[in-house]
Amino acid sequence: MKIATAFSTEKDTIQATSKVIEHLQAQIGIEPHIIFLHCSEGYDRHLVTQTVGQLSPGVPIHGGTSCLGVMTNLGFHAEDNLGIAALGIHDLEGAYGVAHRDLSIDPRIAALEAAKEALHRARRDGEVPDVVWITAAPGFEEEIILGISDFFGPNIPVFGGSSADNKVAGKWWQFSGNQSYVNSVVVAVLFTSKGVAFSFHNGYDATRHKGIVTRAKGRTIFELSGQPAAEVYSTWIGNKIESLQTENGSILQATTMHPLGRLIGTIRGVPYFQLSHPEKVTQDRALTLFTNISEGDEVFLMHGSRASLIRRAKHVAVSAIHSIEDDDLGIACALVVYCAGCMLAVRDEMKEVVNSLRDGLGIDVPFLGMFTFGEQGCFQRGENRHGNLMISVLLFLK
Amino acid sequence: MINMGILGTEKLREALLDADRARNKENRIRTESELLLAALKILTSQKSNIEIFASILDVMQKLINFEFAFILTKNGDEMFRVVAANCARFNQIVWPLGDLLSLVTQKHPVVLFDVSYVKEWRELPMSVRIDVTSALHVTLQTQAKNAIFVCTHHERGFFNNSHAKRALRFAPLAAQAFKNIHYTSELEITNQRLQEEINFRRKVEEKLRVSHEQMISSAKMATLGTIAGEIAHEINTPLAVIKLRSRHLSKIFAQPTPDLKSGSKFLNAIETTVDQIVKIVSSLKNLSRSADDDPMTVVMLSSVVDGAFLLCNHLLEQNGVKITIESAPEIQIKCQPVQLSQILINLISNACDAVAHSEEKFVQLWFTNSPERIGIHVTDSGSGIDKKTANKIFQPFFTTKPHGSGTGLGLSISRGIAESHGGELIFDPAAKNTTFILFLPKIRDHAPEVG
Repeated sequence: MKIATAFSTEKDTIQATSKVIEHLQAQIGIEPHIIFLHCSEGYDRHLVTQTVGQLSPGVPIHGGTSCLGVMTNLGFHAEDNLGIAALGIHDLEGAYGVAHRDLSIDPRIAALEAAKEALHRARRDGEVPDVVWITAAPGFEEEIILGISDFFGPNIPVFGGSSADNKVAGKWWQFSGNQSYVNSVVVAVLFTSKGVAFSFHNGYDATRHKGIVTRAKGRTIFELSGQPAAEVYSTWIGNKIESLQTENGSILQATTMHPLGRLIGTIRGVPYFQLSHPEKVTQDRALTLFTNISEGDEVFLMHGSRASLIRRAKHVAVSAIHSIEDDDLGIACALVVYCAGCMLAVRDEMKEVVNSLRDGLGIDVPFLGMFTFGEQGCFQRGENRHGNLMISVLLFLK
Repeated sequence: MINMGILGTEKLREALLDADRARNKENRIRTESELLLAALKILTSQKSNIEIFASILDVMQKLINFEFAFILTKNGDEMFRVVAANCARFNQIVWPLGDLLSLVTQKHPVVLFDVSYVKEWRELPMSVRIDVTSALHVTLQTQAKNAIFVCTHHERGFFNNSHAKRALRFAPLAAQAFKNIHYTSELEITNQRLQEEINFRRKVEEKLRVSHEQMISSAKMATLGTIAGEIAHEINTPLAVIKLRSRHLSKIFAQPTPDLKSGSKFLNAIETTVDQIVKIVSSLKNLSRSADDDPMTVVMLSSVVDGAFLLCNHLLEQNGVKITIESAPEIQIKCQPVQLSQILINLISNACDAVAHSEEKFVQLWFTNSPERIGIHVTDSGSGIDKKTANKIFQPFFTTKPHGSGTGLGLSISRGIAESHGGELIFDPAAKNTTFILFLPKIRDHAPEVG
């Protein structure tokens, strides 16, 4: 198994992309079997894919945009909001396949079809991969997870992140092969030679505030416990939420430390939550989220801190390491999904976040991290969920 | 109440998660260890192999929670067939080697979330695929041949790679159970072959035994043929005596006053002579009948020697051979008397032939007596047998007599009879004159019943 990461913050798309791919090829010494590629929205997506296609024709490419920049074991790469990075894997005993589908018509079926094609491309029809890795446009993640479960059954771990831009302005895109898309799900099936380990966490705790969703639709909560959701939320945080809106009406920054949480389960009496990040307040004082929500759901006001967000990445990495069943196996590399909201909250301390990851994974372990508008992962008890303000670490073992 | 703050709570949560993970790992290892132990006990139990395999499947079922399982092995025709299954419908599977099984035999476990995506599964009969959606395939470590463990479940995607790892850990146990079945099957085949071989050998031995009996009978008849003329003469002489004395009796009883005293004397003489004839005929009759099934009886050694001498006496006299018989020791031997007589007659007859053209003609019977056995030595006036001939003399069909004069079986059969009595018949190369020695074991236990 040969692995390498490479990055660039050069402004010119072709130069930046070329540098990344050529550096990968030089380090690995042979064409990789798969490349994970992420970059900020500032690059020309057509030139990125065109360049990759020219330099690594036929290699499955999986990726998408990442908020502001990217991170690797070499640092946080977001110079002038530009950064592109890749992780390449050459794994003779493994099998990798990537495929995409447009989400416009039926996201659930799109995910199923993409998974089916990715599996076929990996030449492993009918087989269960170690993990399914996804990148999708934000908005349909729950349906995407369901579609993948429809195909593989419920016991397949699903990980990934929603592609992100810098200002939640819809400027995100996804890579599949040597093409890019704006509203697709890209599915990679990973049959690794030595297996994987993973962890999916958040760094938030529940407060005493909680309520039942009494009216909701899709990703909007109209009422909490019979009251307008924005009013209830304002009461909980002790501040008028409307007053915290930014110019475009977003409350994301203001709510990063106070997301809503839904109880998934408990481990030794300690609850663990799926988080939803309040995005906007509507005119009828409803709250929109980055996840679906259902009437009858019980939501808790969660509480986080900058310090927690900085340290969380390392904790998740260590947690993933602890989940390795075979003590004889080491870590070949890692993919890290870090919520863009969390990153924005601790942007000035991202160097510290990278260091904490290096500390947790091991100084020599290559990793690629992306900042996403929604995180998909598998909790310790096997539940695949889409959440916000989450961090996940997927380890490739050797 | 202590306010730990969010970092404190986070650390606590991490610690609890780690503890939970460690406990889960410990539980998993303990469960697997217990199942491993149970499986090992099953393997070392005295159950039948089919039961052992079923028990191993039970253990693996607890570990993997499958619904059905079977084991495939490849035969010479590149087809995999089921050798064990927990459901009879899988026994009909004939599975050609394709991409899937090739991958599995290369030690890669293959987990299928839906078997219908795989051609090899699709080509199996529908009756086999009922209630089979997901499947796990693991190669078994057997030295005998390629063997693959397959387990199935009706739920789509029921198995994942965690199941595969667990199956791999227990595959050696299933392999061992499978080996037991395989070797038992081979053992049964071997036993069957062995039994067939034994039956064949028994038939051959029976044929040999019949053939041997026929040979003994032939040799005996040849001996009888040799001495028949002499026996006739032996009987003719007393008959002549009887005839002569009958005439004397006729003359006595033709007298007006018969001399009854003389008549009585002649009558007694005739009776004695008749007894002599009866004795000769009786010996001849004994020798000519089949004696293989005669029981071993305890007799005086002298009676056997005397009986043989009686039949050979005239042969020796006719050929001008002087016979000297040392007094036989007064001991009992356990034997088949007719068989033993046959040996002595054969040895005496051979000696007679051997010295027929010698100037000095004699045959001597003498005895040696050791604590364990008695030796009957038959020595003739010949000067021995050269080494080359001596080496072959006990071989069947070897004879130094002119063509048509001997069967070449006499000494061979005699040695066989001696050995069947626990004794031996040897040529004594160290003796000055040609000597054969018949050794017979002495009776160990006392109070024998004299036959």
